[in-house]
Amino acid sequence: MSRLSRHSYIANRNINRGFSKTYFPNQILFKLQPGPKRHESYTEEEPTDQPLNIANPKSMDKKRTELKVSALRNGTVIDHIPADQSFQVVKMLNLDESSRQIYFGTNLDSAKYGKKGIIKITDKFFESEEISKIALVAPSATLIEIKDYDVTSKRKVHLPDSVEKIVKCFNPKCVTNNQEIDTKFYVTEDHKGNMKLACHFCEKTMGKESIDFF
Amino acid sequence: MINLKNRSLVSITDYNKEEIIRILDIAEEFELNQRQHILNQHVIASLFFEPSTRTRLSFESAVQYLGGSVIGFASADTSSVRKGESLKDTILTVSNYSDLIVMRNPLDGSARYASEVSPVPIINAGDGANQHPTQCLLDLYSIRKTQGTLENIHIAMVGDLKYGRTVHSLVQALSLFGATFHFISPDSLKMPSSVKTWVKKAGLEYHQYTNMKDVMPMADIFYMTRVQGERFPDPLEYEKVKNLYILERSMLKDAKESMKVLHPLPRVNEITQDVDEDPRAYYFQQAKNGVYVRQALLAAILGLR
Ligand SMILES: [Zn+2]
Repeated sequence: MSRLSRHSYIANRNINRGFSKTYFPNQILFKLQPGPKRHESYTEEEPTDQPLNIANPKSMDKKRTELKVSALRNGTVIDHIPADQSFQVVKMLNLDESSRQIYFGTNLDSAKYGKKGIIKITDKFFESEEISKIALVAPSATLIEIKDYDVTSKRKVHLPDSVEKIVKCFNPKCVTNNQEIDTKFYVTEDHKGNMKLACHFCEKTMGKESIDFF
Repeated sequence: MINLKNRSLVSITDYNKEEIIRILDIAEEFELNQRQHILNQHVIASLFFEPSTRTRLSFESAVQYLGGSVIGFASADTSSVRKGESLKDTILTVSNYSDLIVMRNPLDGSARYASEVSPVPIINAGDGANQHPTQCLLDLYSIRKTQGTLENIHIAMVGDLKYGRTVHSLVQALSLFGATFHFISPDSLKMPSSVKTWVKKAGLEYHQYTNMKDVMPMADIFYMTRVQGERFPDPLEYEKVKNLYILERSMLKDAKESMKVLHPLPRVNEITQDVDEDPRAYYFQQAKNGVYVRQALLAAILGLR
């Protein structure tokens, strides 16, 4: 099967069912929107990771081609999302309500991270506030921006010093949950090095598991 | 250069070591000479969104010993808050009528917020379970007064160390002065790890115990708190441990002569009445020291000291 037809095969299966999932062993791969007209790819820069797109025909062995989805012409790829946070990232960025073409995969094998998630969003470039959000739930994520099929930037997301307005305080007695007040948190670590958010107002500290976005 | 003028006090960590010492020094002055009418041109607002008679009376007496006037309310029931006014609107309105606002509010973080919207300084008289810095300052004043120093004391903290905000603030403040901490509590009410991390970061020592006996001979201060039955998930466990955290006069036989027993009050049964007769009982004097400390804060923040 040629590379292009393989793409079409996956794309067609998904189009027919709208929001359907295509299952591979332990992996979920689905398209949130009808596929693009052109199918091209970029090469992932870390060949040890299981790629979603392969431009290089040399790496077109059977196992790998199964995971291919259409490439982006313009847009952003969020790679290296911890697999258990993949759905959280989708929800947090409101991608489930977006009308853009979005590709989503999770529980993909990654040499570096064990299992990872990856999301591709067409014609979307993130603002710094959104990048902060991604960093909070997926600090290991990489953001790859693509313009006209070329990778124009690739960077790790990084945690900001403080987070304003986007996260709710987990303390129901916090003044921010009882008055109309913008929240503010300082990004810190506990003694084990886990990321924590300390509320500027009530001074309570919450872990990643308590983070809830507005 | 220490300048406390027009600065709100929300949390004890808003003050550094020198600023804490400055307030205690001014408080000493007011203990020697309490009635000084330096606030006779000033109006202080006392906004108690939840009742706390003890704290409110202490602040209001501090204002009146200094010749100032007090406006405000003693509970949210009688105020416009009941009609649904936002905290911001209440603070902005009251700041038109006063030079400084003393606020008690049941919401955690309300004092920090008020200090950021208010054009006049705020003194936090307790924001929910969060901070109560004037309690901490009066504890420090009581320790310094009875021990002659704040440096390197051995302090035993007894009872509910998990939820007791006064002990948390006191640990933070005493960490500036190099104390050794002895934490005595039931297993389920141990000092939170965040507080213990503070101690470690300050390069200091803490020890944990489940009863008071071993600590008695070495402590300079016994800081008692109430162990509340409702904090225990299992009522049986409460029944088992509750008597371990009651201080009786007979237990003081091994204590130093100079040791003092402190308690933020109100006490229920965690210190028996016979301890009151012992010269080491200091909790009522401790409450009195609260007035001097609050006088000192009013004077310093209004730029009169
Ligand atoms: Zn909060």
